[in-house]
Amino acid sequence: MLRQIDGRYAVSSMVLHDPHPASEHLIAFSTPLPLRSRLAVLAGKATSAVSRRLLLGRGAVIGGRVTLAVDPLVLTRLTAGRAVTVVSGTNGKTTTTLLLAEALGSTRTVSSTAGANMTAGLVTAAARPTEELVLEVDELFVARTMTTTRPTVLVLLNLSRDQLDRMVEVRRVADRWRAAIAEVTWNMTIVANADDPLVVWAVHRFPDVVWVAGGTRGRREAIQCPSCGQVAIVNAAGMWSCACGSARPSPNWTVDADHLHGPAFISPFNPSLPGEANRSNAAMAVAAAAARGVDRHAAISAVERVESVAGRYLTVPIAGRPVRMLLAKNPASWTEVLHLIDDDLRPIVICVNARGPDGRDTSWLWDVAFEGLAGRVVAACGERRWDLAMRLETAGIRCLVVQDPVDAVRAVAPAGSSVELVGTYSAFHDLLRRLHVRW
Amino acid sequence: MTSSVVIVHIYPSLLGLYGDRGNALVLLDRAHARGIPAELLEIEPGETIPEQADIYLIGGGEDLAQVTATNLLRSAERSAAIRAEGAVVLAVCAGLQMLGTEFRAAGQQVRGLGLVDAVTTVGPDRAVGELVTEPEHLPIPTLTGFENHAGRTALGPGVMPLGRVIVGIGNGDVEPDSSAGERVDGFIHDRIVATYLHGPVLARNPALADLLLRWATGGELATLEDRTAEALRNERLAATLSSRQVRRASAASGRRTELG
Repeated sequence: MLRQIDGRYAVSSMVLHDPHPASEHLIAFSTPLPLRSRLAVLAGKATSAVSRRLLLGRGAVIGGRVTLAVDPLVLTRLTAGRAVTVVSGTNGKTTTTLLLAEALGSTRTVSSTAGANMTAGLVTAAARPTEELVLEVDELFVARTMTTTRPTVLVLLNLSRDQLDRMVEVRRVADRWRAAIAEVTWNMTIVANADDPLVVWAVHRFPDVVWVAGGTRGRREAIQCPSCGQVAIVNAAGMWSCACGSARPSPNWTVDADHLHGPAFISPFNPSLPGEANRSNAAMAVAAAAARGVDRHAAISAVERVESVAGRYLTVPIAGRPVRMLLAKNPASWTEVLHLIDDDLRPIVICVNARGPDGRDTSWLWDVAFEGLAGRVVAACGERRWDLAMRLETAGIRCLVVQDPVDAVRAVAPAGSSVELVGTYSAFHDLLRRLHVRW
Repeated sequence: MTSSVVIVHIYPSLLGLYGDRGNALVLLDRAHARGIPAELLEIEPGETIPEQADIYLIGGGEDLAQVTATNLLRSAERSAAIRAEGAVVLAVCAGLQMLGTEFRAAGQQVRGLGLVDAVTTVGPDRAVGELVTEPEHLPIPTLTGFENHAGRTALGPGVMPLGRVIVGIGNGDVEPDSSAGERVDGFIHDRIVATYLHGPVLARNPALADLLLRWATGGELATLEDRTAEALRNERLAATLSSRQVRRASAASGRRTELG
């Protein structure tokens, strides 16, 4: 679907494959919903609509909260009898969720979340009467979402440090996944990243696993074996093994510079989304779609068409400058961004907040190789611009410090010149909202 | 004064959780800004920790990583460098706990390196948030940082804390009935400085970085223009102290009995 932004930029928008408008009755659910759940869903939808009309946001979370308040068991009821895919991981979950929704959408109606990845957001997605659901789920909500929705497919992307004030330890997140997976009693397929030792640890001995070489995302050389705590060996190809016997499982799907290799087939593979990490996300999405019975060629063409995800990678005009909007919230996603902008020397505006969704601790900025920005005009903005400025200065990068991102865009480039803008989660979404960019 | 200041970051892949490398980068930067040659050695498990380096950094890590690192360093030979008299050491969070006699991690009681008489137990809840302390034994201004740990560290008699807590938990209330408002953070022992402050601590508190550099070089240091660091400190202290009542209230709720 095409949508105009500011009348100038036509973009491919990731819209939900929901053929029913919000006011549609709830007949499509395979199991009749109790009256309470129906009322709960209607109340939530009305709240979402009001929230959108007031331009407060997309309304997914507040609507879901209202629905949950009316019927706390609504998620179980809404998902009963429907095929649910749960997608989780530190990085790439919004992208993979929407790519997978596109791939599944070629043959069936699909509803998916987009960034609203805790229970309230999941309820809003589940309230749409589609045949299938693809749910992006926050790492800490995986266990409870599995219990309530009994997914058919579980997609596990990667685990790295992010929002440590909330997650505490990456290893503990993996432990919780492992415990939840060990409890599974229904038929489920796991599509998992073989390159990530923590994901492999979480999957453990689950019988039905599709392994994808899903990438290492700029991981540092030495890694700790999740099984025994020793330092595991990583070879040049990114494969890992440990003296205790833990090692990278042999993948069923791999992706290289031009092709996707699946079980007994090779296909050219050219996703429109930029960067290595997105190639991995796209491969995970195709593997998951195949696990849901979608023809792999149809799945490949569907994911290849997607050009932007929840506003990311869009180019929008700000103060007369075309600005590419990028999101980076932790060292791993910054590694991707630095790769992505490697071939240009455009001015860059970096916007850092430290609210709940960003993680309240900015220490992670010191694990980003900002030295790679040498030679560019750089502006630091956002609520934690001084933390960023200190980091940049220590990396030998001179920067302007400007509170407001729009002023910063003006300051780094003349009108008409392209700018890269990288924001943390809340900084990125606040700016999109302010610019009235809909996606 | 040595010809080049050698900074050793011990096991960064295990103990580098909270941007700990930043402490090394700030030290390098502040030495270089004064024309003092300085180099950073990142020593991973399996490599030998060089003796007679000028500053050793031990950072924060996840439980399992902390236990692995402690087991490695418990060998007197491997940790000889930091055990040497007069060694300048900055230990943060997991690093702080490891230097003590005992700590608890990954569900087990672990024997520490025993350089300092300090025992860490696990508190009732995790200490997560801004931490502000007032150093009492060092000539440096208010310290600001972020803490994220479950440990409560009791210092043995005669062990000096690094600072008195203004906002946050720090070493915490080890005894439920310890006197209110007397929380402390970290410890100092000879030239070992340990703290729960990260952020990283030296980025937010350049005066502490300079103190370590003075110890390492044995000389006075030229004054640097610290506009960015000052702006960062001012912003953080203003933001933290304005929410002080909130933090105090939540801290007070945990010790209502003693106030009553």
